[in-house]
Amino acid sequence: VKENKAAERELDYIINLQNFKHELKTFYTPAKLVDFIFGFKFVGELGTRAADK
Amino acid sequence: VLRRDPKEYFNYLEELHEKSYLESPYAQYIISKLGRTDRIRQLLEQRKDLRTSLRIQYQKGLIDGNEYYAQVTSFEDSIIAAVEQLKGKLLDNMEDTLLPSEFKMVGIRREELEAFEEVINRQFGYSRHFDEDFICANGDYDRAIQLKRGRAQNNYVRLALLKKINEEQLLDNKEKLQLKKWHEDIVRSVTEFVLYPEFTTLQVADLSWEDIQHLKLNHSALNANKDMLVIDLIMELSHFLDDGLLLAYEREVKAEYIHKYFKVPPYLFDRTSNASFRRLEVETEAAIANEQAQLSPVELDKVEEMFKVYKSQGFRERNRYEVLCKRFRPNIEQMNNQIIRNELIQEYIRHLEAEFYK
Repeated sequence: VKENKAAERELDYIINLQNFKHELKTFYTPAKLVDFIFGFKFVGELGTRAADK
Repeated sequence: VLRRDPKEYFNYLEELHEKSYLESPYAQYIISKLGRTDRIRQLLEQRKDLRTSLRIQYQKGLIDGNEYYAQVTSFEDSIIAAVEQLKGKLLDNMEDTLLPSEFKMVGIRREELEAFEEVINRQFGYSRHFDEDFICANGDYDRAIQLKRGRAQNNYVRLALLKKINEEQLLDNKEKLQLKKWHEDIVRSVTEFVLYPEFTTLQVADLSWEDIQHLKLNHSALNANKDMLVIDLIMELSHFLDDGLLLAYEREVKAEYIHKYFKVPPYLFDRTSNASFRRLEVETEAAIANEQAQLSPVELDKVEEMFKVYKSQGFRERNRYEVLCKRFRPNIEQMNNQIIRNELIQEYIRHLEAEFYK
């Protein structure tokens, strides 16, 4: 049962991801897509957090 | 943390490359047919090997240009014949002969072989067995995906830096440090393959409120999987980005460094990865073409004969003529080695005529 649940969640994640990417591809112009990809606040923190090292 | 099947990721990468190169229906059509008959691909491979070995032989002086061209041409003829044969087979199998005419144009000309080879080889543009990260992981998928994650994070941060520089925004201290570290890595990568085993362990649940809102699109949202690693999200997003840009930038920095410390001219590090090798190939082929364009001894004799017409009649002329003839042959032989031989010889003859009839 545990394994099944894990597999279900993974499938869920994959479907989510596919929808997400599909929407990005279809509704976003290239410029908007770039803005989206680099629009996260965490960009500046990557690689500098103490917990990551 | 949401687990992820690393093997599936590499499958996905390989598929992705195949897909992107199969967008053209024409290429797709040819490649699907070629998939069944591997012969043409083998022939193209053999052609490459043949040309390389012939070039080496030529450079060692074992064969001359004539032989080089004869062998390459005859081999290319066999490839063209194989394509024709395939074409005949395809047309035989086609039930509908009313197909639009471009589908029948599977034939190929000699000039197109280069492009043809490229189309065919592109299909195999990515293979995990040529992926440095995968090789460094020694076939351990879990380790390989971690190296991929580290690389994706670095590429993501670096592209963000490039974007900022491109938009002429000022970098803050942290970003300056990142840029500095990047340049150190580039210099390090001249002599070794740089691995990035470290990546962020941030999960989607840890993201700030703004970022969570940012992840909500019109119809879909990725923030439903709270325990998903943010780095996995970055990996997915990075497929929209072109890491060729990073490679181009790194290549330029590397070229500067190598030029500074090893005195290798920067033009050898052109945009395309195998440009330096291509250049050597082009140079050798140019040398062969140059040798081919040279006048043969028979032709030199004819030039000399043409020069002698009407120049040996009187006694005084004969004396002068003999002096001219003495230096004529060695001079045109020397000019024959130059690339602009025709212009040189014409100019030389004009000059001598003017001297003779002065």
